[in-house]
Amino acid sequence: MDCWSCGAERRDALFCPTCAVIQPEVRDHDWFEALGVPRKMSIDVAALSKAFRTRSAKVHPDRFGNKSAVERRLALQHTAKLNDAYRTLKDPQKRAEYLMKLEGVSIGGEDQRTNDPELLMAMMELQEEAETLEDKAAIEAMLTRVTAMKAEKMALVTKYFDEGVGEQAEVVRALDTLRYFWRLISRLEAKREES
Amino acid sequence: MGLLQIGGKPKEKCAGTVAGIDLGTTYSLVAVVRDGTPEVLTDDEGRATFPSVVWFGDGDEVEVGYGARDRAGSGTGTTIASAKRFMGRAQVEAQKDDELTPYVFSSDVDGPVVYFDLSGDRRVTPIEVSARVLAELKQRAEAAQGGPLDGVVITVPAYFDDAQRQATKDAARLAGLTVLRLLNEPTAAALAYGLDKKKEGLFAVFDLGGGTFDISILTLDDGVFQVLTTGGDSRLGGDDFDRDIAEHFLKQQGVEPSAASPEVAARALAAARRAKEALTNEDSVTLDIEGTAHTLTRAEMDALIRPTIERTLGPIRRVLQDVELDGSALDGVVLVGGSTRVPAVRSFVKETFGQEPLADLDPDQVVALGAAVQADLLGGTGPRDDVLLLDVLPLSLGIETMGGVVEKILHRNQTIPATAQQEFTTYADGQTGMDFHVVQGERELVKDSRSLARFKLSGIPPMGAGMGRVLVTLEVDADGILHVSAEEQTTKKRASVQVKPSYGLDDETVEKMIMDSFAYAQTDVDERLFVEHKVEAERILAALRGAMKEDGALLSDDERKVLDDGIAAVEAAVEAKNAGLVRERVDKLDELSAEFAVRRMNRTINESLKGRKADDLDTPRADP
Repeated sequence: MDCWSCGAERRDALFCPTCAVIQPEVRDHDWFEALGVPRKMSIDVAALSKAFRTRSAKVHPDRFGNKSAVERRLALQHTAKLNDAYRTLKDPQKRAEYLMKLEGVSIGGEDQRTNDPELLMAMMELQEEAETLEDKAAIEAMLTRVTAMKAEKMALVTKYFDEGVGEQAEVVRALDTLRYFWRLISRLEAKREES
Repeated sequence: MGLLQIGGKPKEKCAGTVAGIDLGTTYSLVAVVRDGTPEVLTDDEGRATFPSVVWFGDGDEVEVGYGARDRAGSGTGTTIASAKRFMGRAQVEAQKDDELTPYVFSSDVDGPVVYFDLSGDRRVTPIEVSARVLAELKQRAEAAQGGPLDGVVITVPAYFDDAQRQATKDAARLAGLTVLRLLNEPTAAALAYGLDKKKEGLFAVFDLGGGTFDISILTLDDGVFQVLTTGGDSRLGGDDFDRDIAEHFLKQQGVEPSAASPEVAARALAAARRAKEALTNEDSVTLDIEGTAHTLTRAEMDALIRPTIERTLGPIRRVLQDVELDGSALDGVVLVGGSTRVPAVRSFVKETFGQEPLADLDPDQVVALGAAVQADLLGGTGPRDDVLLLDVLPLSLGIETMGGVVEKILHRNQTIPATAQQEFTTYADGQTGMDFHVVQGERELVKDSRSLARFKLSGIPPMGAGMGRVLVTLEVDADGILHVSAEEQTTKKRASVQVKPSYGLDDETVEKMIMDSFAYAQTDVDERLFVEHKVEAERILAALRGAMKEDGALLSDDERKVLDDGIAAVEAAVEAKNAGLVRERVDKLDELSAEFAVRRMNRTINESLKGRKADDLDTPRADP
């Protein structure tokens, strides 16, 4: 691959080794690669944030203020990708869904809402229970309970991705369930705030 | 391989002359960095603040700043203050906004832009009013720097939406300024503080200006400022305190505030402002209003404005929730904005965050100082590796879907620049067009959100229903402004995107205003400068024309038209021998053609990948 600016060989380096000009991506890096963190479910969020800041510091358009419009455009594309990657990977649910997507299964799109009647029923019951609560202690108790249920599902998801234990279908179902749990937890937290 | 020198080879522009501008609701300031230290520029009388006030005489006379404020009560002409409150707003929004207002809005327009009525048949938009203020600050900076400005950073409230940001950029263009960046005010303040103190940690910035309230939380780590969350209210500020107090005075006089004439309202507001300023240091003040003495104590004022101050609580709670923290866990709370001088505001902040706020930099100047620092980082003495700002999208962006529901595709607090893609399929045989509606805000329903723009896609190749798959890319740049492109996935044909902004001026109107603008009216063209710009223009036009001929297939019909128009605009400016205009338009064309250049680059990469064996690459993958 040649540098678009000076024509020298640059392989897939981000900056041309000869003229140091920023280059387009040669191939699509996945978001773990983009941030240079291991492709795992359990990641150190502080290290992720650090990596995000360090890499942003290299390609951010602000670093290219006095360069050509084309270089600024490339910087913007790299930065937008880092930003997308960071937003996805720092959130455990989104990270898990992304890992699943890398396995070829997409979860969570508008048209991919679960239609498992049993799951829907169970979640609706929890939802209704949450709505009837008014007492602070009761809200607190349910919050603790749902948080524990969430942690249990999360452990299953982590085991699958990081140790290869479990079935894909089961994890897909856990991720569906978790989406409800996250929403329920923020609803309960809002209620706790109000009470 | 010389594939795409359109916007030119990488170039190192020489270290530029830059400045930071705080375009405030009531006051504006300009600052520059000298010998590594930011400083605010003052006028002949040593005043740093410049009233954001413009007076339009009954003839062609215009006064800006203190001169305009002095003319306000003279009974001639029209004085417009606080134009910032109306940037990016529609007529109807401005009218229903304030019961107590000294402005006369044009009643005959119901458009996407506010017009203020002037005497005669004239009227003026807030964009033009702001441009007048910016032009004065530009002059001040150029006098101080001893030469023309190459670029500026202008601050905006973090909570400004797309339309308000665009309006600010338009005002800058009208004033003949190149905008290096729109910078969020609280971020600017943090930058000024951070560099000053070399602190690390988690900070909140409480910014209460004349017309806007912002609250942001950011971390400072190893020179990188990362905004974690931001919130606020773009219609809350010290002006509201003035109104609270003025209404009190009017009621004391037995006047119903909503029935007060613009003149009476203006006098009551002026008295309120004097009272507020006096009560910053005094416990009681006595003023003469309409011939009667009125006494106001600080305790009385505190009670009058308390409900307004408490309106900051909602946004504060929300940002603290975003970072899952309690106010007392922060390493510091920075005060910004003139309204944080009000003692009741300070004690409120202390009580809410459980700690004494930082206020060692002048809250009126700190934003301008930060803007100057950022301008210097971006275009001044050259990029510095030690400091970087990572800012966020203040409001989510979504697309209207079936049933008036918003599907969010770019999220609040996401670091910008950011992109998102969404695929739409055609629903009818032979369908060649598609409409979509982008809205801004956190609500679920379109009717509760703020409309940003309607996009009309055309030029989709006709196919069977469901066969056409159009990938729409939304991109928010580092200024927080949205750009849209679309491509049909099967044929890779680029669809045309026509934008109809819901608020603000369209490009054509702005272009026309620029042609008529005072900033480009000067006829004493610097011949040497003109020749330089002309040569650069001709080089770029030749390269772009060549590239368009060779790779025209990479452009949609209207992208081609945009570039053709850009070329024509440059030629017209060359024809007019207007050096400033040539430069402005060449820069714009350079910007417009950059995406085309990158597409050509990517196409070349794809072609060269096709020619290589799969094992040359780290990860073999099928060609798209």
